[in-house]
Amino acid sequence: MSTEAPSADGGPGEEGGTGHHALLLVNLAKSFATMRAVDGVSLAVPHGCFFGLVGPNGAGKTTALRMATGLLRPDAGTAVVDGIDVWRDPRAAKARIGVLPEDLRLFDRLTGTELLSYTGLLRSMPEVVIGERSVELLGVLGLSEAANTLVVDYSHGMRKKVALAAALLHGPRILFLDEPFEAIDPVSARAIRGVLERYTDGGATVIFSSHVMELVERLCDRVAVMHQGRVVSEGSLDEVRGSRASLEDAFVELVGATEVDSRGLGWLGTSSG
Amino acid sequence: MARHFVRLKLRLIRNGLRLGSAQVVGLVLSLCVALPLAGLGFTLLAVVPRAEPDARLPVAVLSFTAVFVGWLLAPLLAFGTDDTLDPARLALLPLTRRQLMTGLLAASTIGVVPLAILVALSGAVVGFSPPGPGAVVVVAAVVVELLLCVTASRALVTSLSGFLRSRRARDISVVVSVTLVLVFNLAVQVSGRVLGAADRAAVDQLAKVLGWLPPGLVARAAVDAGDGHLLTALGELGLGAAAVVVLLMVWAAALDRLSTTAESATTTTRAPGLFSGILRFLPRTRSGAVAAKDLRYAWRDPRRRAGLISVAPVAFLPLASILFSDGGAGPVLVLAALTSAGLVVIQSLNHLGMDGPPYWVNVAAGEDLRADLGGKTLATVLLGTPLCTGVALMIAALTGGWAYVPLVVVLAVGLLLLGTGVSNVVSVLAPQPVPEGTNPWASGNTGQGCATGLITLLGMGVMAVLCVPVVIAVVGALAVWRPGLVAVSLVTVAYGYVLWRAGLAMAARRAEGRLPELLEAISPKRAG
Repeated sequence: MSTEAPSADGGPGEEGGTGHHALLLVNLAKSFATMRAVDGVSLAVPHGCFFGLVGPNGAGKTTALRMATGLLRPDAGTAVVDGIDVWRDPRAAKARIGVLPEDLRLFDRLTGTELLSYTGLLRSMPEVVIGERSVELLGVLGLSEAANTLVVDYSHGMRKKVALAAALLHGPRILFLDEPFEAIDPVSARAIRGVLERYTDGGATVIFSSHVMELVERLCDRVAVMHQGRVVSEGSLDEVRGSRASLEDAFVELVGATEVDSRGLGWLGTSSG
Repeated sequence: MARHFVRLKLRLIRNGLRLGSAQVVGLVLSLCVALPLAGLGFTLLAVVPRAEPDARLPVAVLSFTAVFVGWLLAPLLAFGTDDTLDPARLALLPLTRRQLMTGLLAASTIGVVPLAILVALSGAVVGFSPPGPGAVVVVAAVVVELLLCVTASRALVTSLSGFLRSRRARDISVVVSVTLVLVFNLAVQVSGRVLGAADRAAVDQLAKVLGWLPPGLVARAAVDAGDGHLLTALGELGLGAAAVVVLLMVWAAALDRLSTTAESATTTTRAPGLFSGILRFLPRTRSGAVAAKDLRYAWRDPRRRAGLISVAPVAFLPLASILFSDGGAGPVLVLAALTSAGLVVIQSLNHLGMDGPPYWVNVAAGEDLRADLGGKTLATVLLGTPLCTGVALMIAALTGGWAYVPLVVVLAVGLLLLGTGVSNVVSVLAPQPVPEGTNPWASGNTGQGCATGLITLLGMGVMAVLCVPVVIAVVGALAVWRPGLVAVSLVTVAYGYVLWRAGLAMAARRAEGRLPELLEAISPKRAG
């Protein structure tokens, strides 16, 4: 099933082969207090791929993505982005990636335009380039009118879109998106999807986590299913789906959820007041 | 229904205490403040009417009015501290308006402050009650006064709650509450002098006017009942009770409006560009971007704005001392403007913590702590120097010490560099998460308040020690040869710069490559 994933014991041969992958995680692990949030995750994501990371709440997706993007130091294991070890050479690795985190904590007392200037200058981009790309990105994402509004006054969908613009500004080769479509209205979701499809058409890689199985099925070439800090299945969409009708069925089966017992709860919907 | 609300409120107070020792200390402190005040009020109302019959009316009218105004304003300043009494929270429960209103009224009489006020007001029963049926009227007057306070405050909070919920209003209320605390401090000091000088006639006049407002009418009812004018007293009490009914109607209307209208959205449009306006000259680098962001935040972030505003009274202390002194203030006083530089620096002691979780943007863009701290230093110097200069110019205008103004500018740069050198080290070695929310007084439930205070004190101590040579040099130059101050101020800049570089090197050595850990340290732990 996971032919492309590196074997958990051997790992990749030092430099050899890592260049073939946009992202390579080997035995990545992280514990918080008593909980093992990520328990030895190994993943290989080829270049130019639209990769979906799915799993129930608390499966460790966010923690894994934070470790892969250099925001949270792993207890063990390695994360290699575009051939560069994220934790040995963080600056070079971070130059190649863009990140859209789940919780969207932004410097929200800046306007959309100001936030993009700030982000671009942090990456030492020339001011002219930042200006041009900001206008273009805000336009494509439908934020032109709100460009000079403080981000704190944005709606949730607008915050996601401006954060996506900030993640794309420096033209990263690999984009990490944590729940990009959560709590997003269909119009914003379509705008985001459009930008992402154009982005991968250019040979770049998108790695995103999601709960929305239909979307993952529609967008992704490859999928990994996480459960309780481990990858329980990984491969192309067809490989993960196997003989099951849909990704959702496969997901529910892999994660081991039980069917709802229909005998209880008979009183539901009987309230008169 | 009222019983449920009262139990809910009591349960909330009890659960609040379970959160930690800070809440227990808070309750004990508020009891320590409220109970003596309650005792004082009780004594005032109980003893003065008997001992000083002439003062009966002004004492009753003024104290009833003061209680009313205080009760009305308190929840506005502390809005958001008691969300359970926020009617919007209860909008989805299947409660009739009558149930909701009785419940909220009952619940708002529970607490330390309402208890203290009830104790104080009941002094009137002792002080004014005549033997016979008049006593009933006095007791009724106290009850009506209490009802007036509760309904008026509920009506006001409900009417304003849509407004108070908007982002802009919350921003404003932070600033307003800080300003009010400052004004209150001033007022306490000034009122002592004024009251000492005011003559009785003016007080009587004031009491006469206030006596026609509902709380004053109720107070007059108590006084007249004590004097045996039962019919007049009943009339006045009736007017007070009518006011309660009107307030209840206003409140009911406001509740209806609240449950049927959505929150209003605020949008603020700003001039385009991080570097627009006066920030045009900043370098277009990582440091420049951090500086521009910090300078924009100094005013746009309500917490930092509140901090900036609280600098004002200290900055203007020298001014006040000139105005109140007999003109003996020397031109040297211009140097006192430097105190505002110290205040700006103290607020930068946790400057990474002030950034908080959004600092991930800097971490994700690749670590460059030196550039980030450099930008923060730039922002502090660019904020503090004009502030000092402004205060210096004002003092110079009063004392004629214009020659000292350029010295203040140069010294300010040196001292700001020195101070930022320390705060760069402190904010990296001891980063403190800043609780979210807009209440500048809230230290949250993180139990961090004490630690943060100690670290701030320690940082201030280090700054003070490092400033000692500068102070000695300045005082020496003033005593021996004043033109020497020019050399002293230039050397201070060099001294400050060296210390700043040393601080930067120390901070960078400590935290280079550890920004992810720093980011964890400045992110408040979220409940749940």
